[in-house]
Amino acid sequence: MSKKRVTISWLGALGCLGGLCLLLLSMGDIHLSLWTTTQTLLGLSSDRVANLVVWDMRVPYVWAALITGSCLAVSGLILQSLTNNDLVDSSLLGVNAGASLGAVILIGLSGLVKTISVDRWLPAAAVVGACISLLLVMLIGKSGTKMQILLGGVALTALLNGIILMIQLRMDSFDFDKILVWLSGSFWNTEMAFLRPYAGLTVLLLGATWLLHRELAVLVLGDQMARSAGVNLTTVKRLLMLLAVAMAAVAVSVGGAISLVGLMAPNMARRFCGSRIQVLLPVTCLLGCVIMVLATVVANNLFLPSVLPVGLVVAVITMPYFLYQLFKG
Amino acid sequence: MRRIKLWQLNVLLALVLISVAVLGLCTGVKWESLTLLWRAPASLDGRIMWTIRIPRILSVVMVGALLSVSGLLMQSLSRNPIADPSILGVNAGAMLALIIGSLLGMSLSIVTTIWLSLVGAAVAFTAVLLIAMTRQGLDVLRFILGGTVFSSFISCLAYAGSLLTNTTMQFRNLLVGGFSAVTYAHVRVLCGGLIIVLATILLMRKQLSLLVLDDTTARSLGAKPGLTRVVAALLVVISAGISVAVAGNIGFVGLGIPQMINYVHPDRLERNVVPTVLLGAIFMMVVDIVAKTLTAPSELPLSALSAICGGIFLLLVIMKGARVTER
Repeated sequence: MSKKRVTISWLGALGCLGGLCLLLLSMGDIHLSLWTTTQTLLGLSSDRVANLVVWDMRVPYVWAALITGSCLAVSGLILQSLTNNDLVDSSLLGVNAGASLGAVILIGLSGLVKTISVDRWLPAAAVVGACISLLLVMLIGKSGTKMQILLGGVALTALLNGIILMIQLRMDSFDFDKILVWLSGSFWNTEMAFLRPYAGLTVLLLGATWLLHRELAVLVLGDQMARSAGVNLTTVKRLLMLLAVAMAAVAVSVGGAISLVGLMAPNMARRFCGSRIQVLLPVTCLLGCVIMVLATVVANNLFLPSVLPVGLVVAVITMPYFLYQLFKG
Repeated sequence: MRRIKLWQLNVLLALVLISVAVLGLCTGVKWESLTLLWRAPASLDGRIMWTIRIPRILSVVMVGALLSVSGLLMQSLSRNPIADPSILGVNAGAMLALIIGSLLGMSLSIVTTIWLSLVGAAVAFTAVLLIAMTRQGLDVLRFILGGTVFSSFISCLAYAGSLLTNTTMQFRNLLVGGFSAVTYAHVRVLCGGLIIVLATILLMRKQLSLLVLDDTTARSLGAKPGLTRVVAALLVVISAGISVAVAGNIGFVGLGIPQMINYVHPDRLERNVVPTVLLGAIFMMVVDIVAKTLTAPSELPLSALSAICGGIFLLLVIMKGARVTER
């Protein structure tokens, strides 16, 4: 893959992301012109309405989209390298469903025991749920083929979603809509105070993944090659798995179970810029963000004044892509 | 292990079904004695028995039978143990059609409900079959994975539709499934559907049994595999569509029941239809009893219950390393 093409895909992805973010900030119930939005962002505007709309109402959405997009995409890339299977991602393996179940159980408990603070313990609950479900899937797939892992993930997702549905209905039988957050994904809390720690966590996890990118590159070559290249396989694999799970859990805490971004972003990135990991990793991350921001723009604006759950839009975008990928091979 | 004989299995299952049905008739929000049916049919409790419990029992039994038969047909159609109308998008298609229909302002009387869900199921199943077809014939992996993803795709559309129009409460019954609102009209429709399906299977039992063979072998035995496949697909659509129209999206009955029968008594499709139907009805009865008694007076969502049972079962099948990847 030529250097020129890599640069072009970099610039293209960055440009797309910037443009979409601007679009997200300017469109909505109160329409602002792109020029006003840019001015407000740069702090040059004194219009109080514009400032309020951009900074207090729309910037959190951008953050939420960036957090979920980058986390899901990178965790998908890691899982694909770990399982040596391009058709894998955290939602297909049931990791997202596990994290959702953890979150739902926590919310249910907080309804019973008032002293539990949901905001503080949400990431922990999501991580525990995600870990357990990934372990289960790996246990199934240990002796099995790639397809058995995939099917195991499908079965696990169905099972966990059933449990989520039960718990939600027990909690509050009138508020049926609440289930949709965790079953189909939407940004349920867009306050900066809630999002800020997650943004920090995301940066931290992405940094850690970048530190391991050499090992990740070697893993793709297969176990034997990796061992002969002097990589401590078990430790590296465990670390990477933990990173993938943690990122999936962060994404689920912010946006519920959003499907297949982790499948689509790495595969598209591979097409644009080849499979060299030090290029692939950042481009994947960017593309994940692009997909999520695009989906948020559509979800927030398609049926004004009502707002669609962003996960539904993502599903409509990504599922045909998955089918296409599945049948290409 | 000595194999159980077919007639023994059938008698056993029939006895269990009758006793479970009687139990289902008695349980509910309030425990009723069976004798009320003829001793005091005009009293309030007697009327509850006649107008609520009996249609419910009948439709539970028939939905269980229809779903398990459609699973059995689908599994021989795809030559694969992991196939079921709820996994492969047929149920979801029927659900989407119902939601779209009522959003367009159609009144959901029983007749329109049935038509809508039949059309939806047919369209969705055709789409999944098209996805799964290759030049070499039906590809099992494409069938399952494509069907699963397609199914969740359609469910997403259905959710989005009902969410946008603020009608989630209206579709709650459809989404979570349940038998709390069935009447004798539903029973009649179910009965008709079940008779059509079982009669067709009886008429074409030889050809349907040959579905599991590959096309050349089947042809050399004098069967027409193309035609048989179309008939089997139609039967699947009829049974799944009617079940969704009555009881919402109940999954996994069609997946597990034929497998269990096949485990106890491995045999051809034509001989295994009766025990599969009976066991499907038993399973549905038991789940319904659990759903209505465990947290009485409210009811548990039936689709969630069956998804949990079915998910566990599917995991077990995959762990055992079933012939998933076999072409």
